[in-house]
Amino acid sequence: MVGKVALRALVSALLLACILLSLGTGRVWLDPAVLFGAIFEPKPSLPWLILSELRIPRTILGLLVGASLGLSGAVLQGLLRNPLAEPGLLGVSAGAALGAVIAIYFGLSATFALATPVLGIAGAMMAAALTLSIGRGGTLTMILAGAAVSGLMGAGLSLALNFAPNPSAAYEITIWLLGSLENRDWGQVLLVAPFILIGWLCLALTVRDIDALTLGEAQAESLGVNIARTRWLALAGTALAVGAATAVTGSVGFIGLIAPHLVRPFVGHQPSRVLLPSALFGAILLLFADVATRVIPTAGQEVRLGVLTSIVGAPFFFWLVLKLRRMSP
Amino acid sequence: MSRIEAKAVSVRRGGRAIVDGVTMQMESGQFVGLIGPNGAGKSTLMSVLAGLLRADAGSVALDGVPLSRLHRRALAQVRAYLPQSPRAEWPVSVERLVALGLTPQLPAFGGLPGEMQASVAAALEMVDMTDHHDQPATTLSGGELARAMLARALVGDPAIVMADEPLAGLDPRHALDGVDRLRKLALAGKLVIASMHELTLAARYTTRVAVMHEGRLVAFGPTARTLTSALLHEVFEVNACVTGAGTPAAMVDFVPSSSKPL
Repeated sequence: MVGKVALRALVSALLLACILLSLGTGRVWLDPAVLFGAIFEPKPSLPWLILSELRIPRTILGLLVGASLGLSGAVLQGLLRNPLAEPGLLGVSAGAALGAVIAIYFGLSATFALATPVLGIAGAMMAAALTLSIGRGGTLTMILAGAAVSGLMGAGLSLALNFAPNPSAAYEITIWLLGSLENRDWGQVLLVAPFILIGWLCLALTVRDIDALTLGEAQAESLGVNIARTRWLALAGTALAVGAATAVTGSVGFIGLIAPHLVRPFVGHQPSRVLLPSALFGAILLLFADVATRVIPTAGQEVRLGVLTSIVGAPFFFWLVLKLRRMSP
Repeated sequence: MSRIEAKAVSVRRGGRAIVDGVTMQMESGQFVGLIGPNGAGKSTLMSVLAGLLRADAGSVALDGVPLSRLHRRALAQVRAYLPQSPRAEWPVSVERLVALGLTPQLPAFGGLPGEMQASVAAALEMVDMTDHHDQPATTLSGGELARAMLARALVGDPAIVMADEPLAGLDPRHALDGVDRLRKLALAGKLVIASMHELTLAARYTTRVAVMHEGRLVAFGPTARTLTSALLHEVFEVNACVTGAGTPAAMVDFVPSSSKPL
């Protein structure tokens, strides 16, 4: 068994490495010396401009989004006691995507840059409200309601593509849906950060309850856990954090599913202890994937973030299914 | 001294009364065996008594205070509840599983305070599970898991212990061991309520039996006087032979009521 301190050091080192890579990598390579020079002597040079206007907001957004996915994935897996649970399950991501696509469809994003994330957040909230109002009363009904809401939002997305005013609008929508952190600025970071932070707070408040749920719902309730409140907090937290994240980045799959599984064996499987490491690993994975999209050589378009996480995440999903098949009789 | 009072408790589902006007009183030091055929309403009554399910009519009071007016955490500190065949959903260690029983005593964030680790160790010791403290709870055998769950229920030192069929699925040795532990808890001054189908064990170990039939409480009293052949014939629709109810040598045997010689 790896020591606790060694593990913490490893995670911190990985996170720091990913942050530095994310700040340094891109069309213009900033080596560490230039990086530190620009940070400690903030005078308007080209490296400093690239760093402050492009790389830092992109990196911060990557941290916020990755941590949101990892944290909400861990909370949902604990709440539903299902290893396949992930943030997209509750219809929140699809709702955010639909809201953002509506902004692109009606050309709002061309006149007002923040229209896409604003409508994305509104879409996530509406989807969450719908899931919560239909799926009240039980864990299974909540999953089913989430699936139904996802389906409904997906139908809306297809409708937007179906009636796209011109091919370039359809193309723009498709590309946005694939997910990216490219060209995100401080305005978008500042817009979504409050939503994400409040979301984290809601998710963190479930920590005792999801531990007690290790014993099943009946015993958790007998221990004084108000399951309806826990469900509400988990869904609201996911809607705020992942909804806001999806509203600026587009759909980024699998990170919310993978991160909790990567850390669970190292923390003794206790649901509450999975939360923080899972959030950190979510951030590491997302930053790493984002750096990869910048360095993978392509002819024209850079590889989209959502595509990359899916390509890497899908085999992991297969592995998970095989593992579950071995474990179940 | 704790005392549970149910007054005319009824629970209806789909127009049918699952629990029908149950009135009973129980207090510390008693080991109450809740018996009756499948579907008699034992589990539902137990959920109502534990404050997990609200009755459609009637009320349950703990030491004179209606359960509906008690805060769920305050209630959780005085009464432990074990549902039918409890299981661990994650492979956490036995020690951590038992520590979850302290949830109502814990602050919202942070780890387990030092003195509580001592209570976890004591609870494990009480059910002879100290050797298994590090083992993942999902790898325990049925008897071990039942003991770990009992430790989970006892770790917060509740005044009332309720268990829904704690002996189901246990082999004779573990069933005897389990019922003996429950009896000792009652002797130590706790109120123990357990539903069970093992009538011989109920006849030997319980101090009182509550007999349910089609949602109604048809008999409730000291085991020696209440558990009779006539009652079992009426409730279970089998010919029963009860000898020495309420003594360590009690026996309950059954013969189908319309049986032909084999």
